[in-house]
Amino acid sequence: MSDHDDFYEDIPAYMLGALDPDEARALELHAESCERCRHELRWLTPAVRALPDTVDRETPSPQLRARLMAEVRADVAEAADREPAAARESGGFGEWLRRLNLGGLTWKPLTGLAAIILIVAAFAGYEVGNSGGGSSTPNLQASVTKSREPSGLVAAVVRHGDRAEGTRARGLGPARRKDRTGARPLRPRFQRQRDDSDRRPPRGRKSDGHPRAGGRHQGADLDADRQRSPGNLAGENQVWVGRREADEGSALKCVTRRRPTEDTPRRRFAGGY
Amino acid sequence: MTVRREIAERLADEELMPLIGDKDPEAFEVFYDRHGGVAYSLAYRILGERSAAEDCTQEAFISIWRSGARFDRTRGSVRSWTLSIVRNRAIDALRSKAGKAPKLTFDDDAILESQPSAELTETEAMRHETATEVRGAIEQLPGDQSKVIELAYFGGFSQSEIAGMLNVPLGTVKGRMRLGLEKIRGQLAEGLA
Repeated sequence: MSDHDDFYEDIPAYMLGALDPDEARALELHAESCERCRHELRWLTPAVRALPDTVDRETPSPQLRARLMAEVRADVAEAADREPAAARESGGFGEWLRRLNLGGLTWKPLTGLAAIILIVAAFAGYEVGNSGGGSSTPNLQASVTKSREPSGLVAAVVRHGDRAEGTRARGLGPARRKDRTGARPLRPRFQRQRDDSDRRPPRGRKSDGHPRAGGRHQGADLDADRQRSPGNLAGENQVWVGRREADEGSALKCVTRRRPTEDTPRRRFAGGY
Repeated sequence: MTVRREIAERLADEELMPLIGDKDPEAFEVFYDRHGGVAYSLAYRILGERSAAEDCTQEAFISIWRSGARFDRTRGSVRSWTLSIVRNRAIDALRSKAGKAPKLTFDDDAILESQPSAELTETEAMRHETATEVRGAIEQLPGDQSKVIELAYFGGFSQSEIAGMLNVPLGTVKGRMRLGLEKIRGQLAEGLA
């Protein structure tokens, strides 16, 4: 008798679960390459699957259903409890840092190093800013910042004193429409401000004290007004109003000038393009 | 997200399985209501004790729930897959009971009695009809053939063990099994024709 015949004879026992596990595995392997055995398996399958229908129907107790569903709902509740905890563990900057592969390093020393770098950079920036005193073109020692604000009149409040913080205000021309921020756009016909520090103190009309007032002088040939802030008669705060011409919507440059001969810095904003 | 029970009730077994895999208790409840009765009946037929049959049924259904309902539709219906799980667990429980012989009636009438259900859905009616045919087929089997089938399927005995129990050659047991299953199969084929 061939191996196939042996396996073929065992098919009913296999389907009834009456083969040892090793015998069952061997038959499955054989059937993978034996169409006749596969056909026999397919043919007898309905007969075996019908056997449970031959048993007397018994009714399980309601407690079985209740126990089963209680266990199921407990699983669901437990999974729901685990999800927020997993989300907490998987999220956050701390977890991100912990997951960084730093070759054995921890992130805490790196934060100290980053702090040192920031301090050194700040000190270096300060020194560079103050080194304009020895330059032949001290008025141009400045930081330049691009802005996407529309062209027009700008102003800076410079406090002469222990702090030199500039507050920027935009001069406004006649309103045509409001931009996204709600501010009225500037008209583009201002003259370009020259980077000539010798023009100071600036010429021109004084405004009524409000930074926006300068913006009404469209087309004037004066490019900067220096005036006292109405709220500071002692002259500690000064308002610098500059004009620029540029196409509407073009970027502006903010130029901070520093006069080395004065003990406090002045800032003004100049139109770029 | 869980589906409402009335929606789940309209779904076929194969459509319920993905929902159970997603841990939908409503879908699982419908699944149990459909197959819990026959599963318990099968477990009780094998184990012969109500409490053991309930434990077996509960374990089988929980394993389906926790395994994410890994159902492969290429290997048969959800029902047959579920009942094969229940049977395997019941046989394992039977074998683990040391010194306790399986409950075998050896009375063919025990599985030939039909108990009509009060209300049958269309699917259940077809199933009931199939069961009646199978019962009829088994009723017509010679006793030695039905006996080896019952010892194997409901008793969990191997063909070698059956041969030893009945004191007949192994080849005889194999032949009786084949003849018995072929007759049942033939009866089912006639019923479908």
